[in-house]
Amino acid sequence: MVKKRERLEVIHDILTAIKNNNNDLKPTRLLYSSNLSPQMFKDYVVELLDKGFIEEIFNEKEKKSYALTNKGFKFLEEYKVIIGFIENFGL
Amino acid sequence: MDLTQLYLQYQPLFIPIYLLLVSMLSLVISLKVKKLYDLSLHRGIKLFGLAFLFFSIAFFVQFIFSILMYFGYENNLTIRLTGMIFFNYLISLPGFYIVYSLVRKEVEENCTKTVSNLKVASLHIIALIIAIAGLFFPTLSNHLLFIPQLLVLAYGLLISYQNYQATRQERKNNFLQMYFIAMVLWFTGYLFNYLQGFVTPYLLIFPLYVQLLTLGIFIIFFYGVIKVTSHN
Repeated sequence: MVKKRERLEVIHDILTAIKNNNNDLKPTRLLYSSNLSPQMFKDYVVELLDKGFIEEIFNEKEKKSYALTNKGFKFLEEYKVIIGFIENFGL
Repeated sequence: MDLTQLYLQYQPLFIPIYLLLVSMLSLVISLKVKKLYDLSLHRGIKLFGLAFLFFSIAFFVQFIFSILMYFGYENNLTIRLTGMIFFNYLISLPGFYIVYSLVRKEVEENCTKTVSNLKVASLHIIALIIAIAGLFFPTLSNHLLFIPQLLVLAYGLLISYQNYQATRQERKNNFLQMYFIAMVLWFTGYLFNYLQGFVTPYLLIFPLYVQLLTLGIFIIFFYGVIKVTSHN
């Protein structure tokens, strides 16, 4: 059985997918990359927008895509430290 | 001059320094942890950080009282009672928070955010009851404060041992062994604190051992947090 991903792992995967696409990824492609159900994907995106990890950007044709904010980049930088902390302190 | 005489002579100076040092160590730990929480929004990290924030405030309150006592305000009943309730409330919380952070995943599984928050709020209510009960039953105050803490810490000790054993089998090199040692010292420290009133008349230097043990616990956690949160 495939292990259920933890919340932080899902956030990491979403942010990494955006970063690896030149920090500009359309919602549909992000949904595919995230391996989440549409409802869960929506919940995560709303949370990431609320917390300021990602932002919406619009191209000249008014098509929406997502980009990481500085906080989003910071999260990716610190991800290993966060996971290390959780493991080391049994949280 | 032997160590006991030296300690007793410099106790009014040593105790405020000790209290301030522990308060500062706890504050640095909680600030380091807060940075990780701001990025991760992980509840376990938040609970761990708050435990040390409560420690920091509790020891700072005691530091202020040690200064007030130094200047002769120890007989002011209002200051004494307010300080006792506030300190007992604050010093009860870290043990609850640390142990809750260790069991949070199981306890909060399938819980809504409101239910999870209510569980944390109940820890504050218990701490407040302990603090206020000490006021109404002054002769039992010591037992009321330490016995629940010792029970909770014994449970935390068991969980931290299980965590350590689990990673030991996976041969992971991490802080869980030190965490377990810190929990053993924490439990011992509270036990010594509990026994302090009975032992000190026969062994005047006993409070120094308790203070050094307490300092040791905070240095271990400080070392662990700095080590784990440092990049290289």
